[in-house]
Amino acid sequence: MADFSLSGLGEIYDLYAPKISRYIYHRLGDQALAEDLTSEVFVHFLCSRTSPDNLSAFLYRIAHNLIVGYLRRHPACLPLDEQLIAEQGDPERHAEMELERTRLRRLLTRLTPEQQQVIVLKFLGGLSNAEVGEVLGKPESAVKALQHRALENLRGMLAAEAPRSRQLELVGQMK
Amino acid sequence: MMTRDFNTQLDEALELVRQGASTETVVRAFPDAAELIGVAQRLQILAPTPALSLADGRRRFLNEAARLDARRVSTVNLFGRWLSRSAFAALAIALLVLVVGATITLAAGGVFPILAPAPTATITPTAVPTSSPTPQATLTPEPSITPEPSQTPVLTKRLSTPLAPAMLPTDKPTMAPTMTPSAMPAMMPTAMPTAMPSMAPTRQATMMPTHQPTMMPTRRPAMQPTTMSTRHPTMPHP
Repeated sequence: MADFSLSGLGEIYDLYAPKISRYIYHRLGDQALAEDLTSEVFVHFLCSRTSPDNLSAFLYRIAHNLIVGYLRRHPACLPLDEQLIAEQGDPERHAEMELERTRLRRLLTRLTPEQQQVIVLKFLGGLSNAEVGEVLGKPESAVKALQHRALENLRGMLAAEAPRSRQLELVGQMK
Repeated sequence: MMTRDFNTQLDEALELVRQGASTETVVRAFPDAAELIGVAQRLQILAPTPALSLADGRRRFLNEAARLDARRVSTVNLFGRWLSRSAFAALAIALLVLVVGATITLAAGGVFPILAPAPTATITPTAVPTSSPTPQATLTPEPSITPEPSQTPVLTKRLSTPLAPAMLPTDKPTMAPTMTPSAMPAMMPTAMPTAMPSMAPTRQATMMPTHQPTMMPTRRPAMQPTTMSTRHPTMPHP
């Protein structure tokens, strides 16, 4: 275990836990699961015998490993988040937004794990290319390439789903 | 090359959007990346996250840290206790090995006082009471190194000088220190010119004790006063 005082560990938790929990949430889409796995990440950090140079990247890597382990044990499920719906004012608008979220999350799961990491860390976690590179253990150029391929894949999937969505929309109007 | 350039352009465009630039401005600047910028913009719908409750996790984390810390301290104490016992045992074994080794080494070298044969002071003034009135005369008789009568006076003269305390057999069981040239400066040229001219006194004492009986009175416990007195009955005294 790294040598930290309890107060120091508390500060570390306060600093990194929100980011880690958001990352897990965006990868798994489950609030309770994100909270549990966030706690697991920090317990794993306690039990690790290393003092990492980049603590943030180290914690993200632990989180990623936990996510991968969880997805191996459980089929990926993307539950509708009731809390997000409750935060919105217009129920119809809420439903549309939630459907869009659900669709995007489902498409995200079709990306490769590295592409998913880049998308979540950069566009949802707010990390820079250098930080993402440290988490992935790759140079910035590789992060840029992964970002490009991930966006291209998402664009292709969105374009493929658009006709079907349009058809469903027309069917709904006819009814 | 082209792909890499586009990767960089796309990254610059996304960075501008991230910093707050309007999408239209960025798309005008990077028209090739317009579609991908649109996809990236759509992803922002996922950005809002529910308020995650991290208080329980924090409490669990700190409790676990305290528990691990306590376990580590107890482990360190146990290890320290074990280490102290092991260190004591190792020290005792090392001392034992050292003592045994030193004893064996000294015994093999013949210098350990307890294991070496005890010196016997057989050459005493009473050994030749008849041949010479003085005790110095009793030390001189040596058949092997005094074959010629002409050397006898010289040897006698040399040995007639009072013995240094270091040469006494009872004081020093080993001969090497007592036979140094400084102790007996006159011995080399006179006492052994013919017997062993090239040998140093110390080597004679340690390597050939039987050939130099006069140099090692302690190694000749069987020296008989009668023989000495008969061989040199008329040893003159200076």
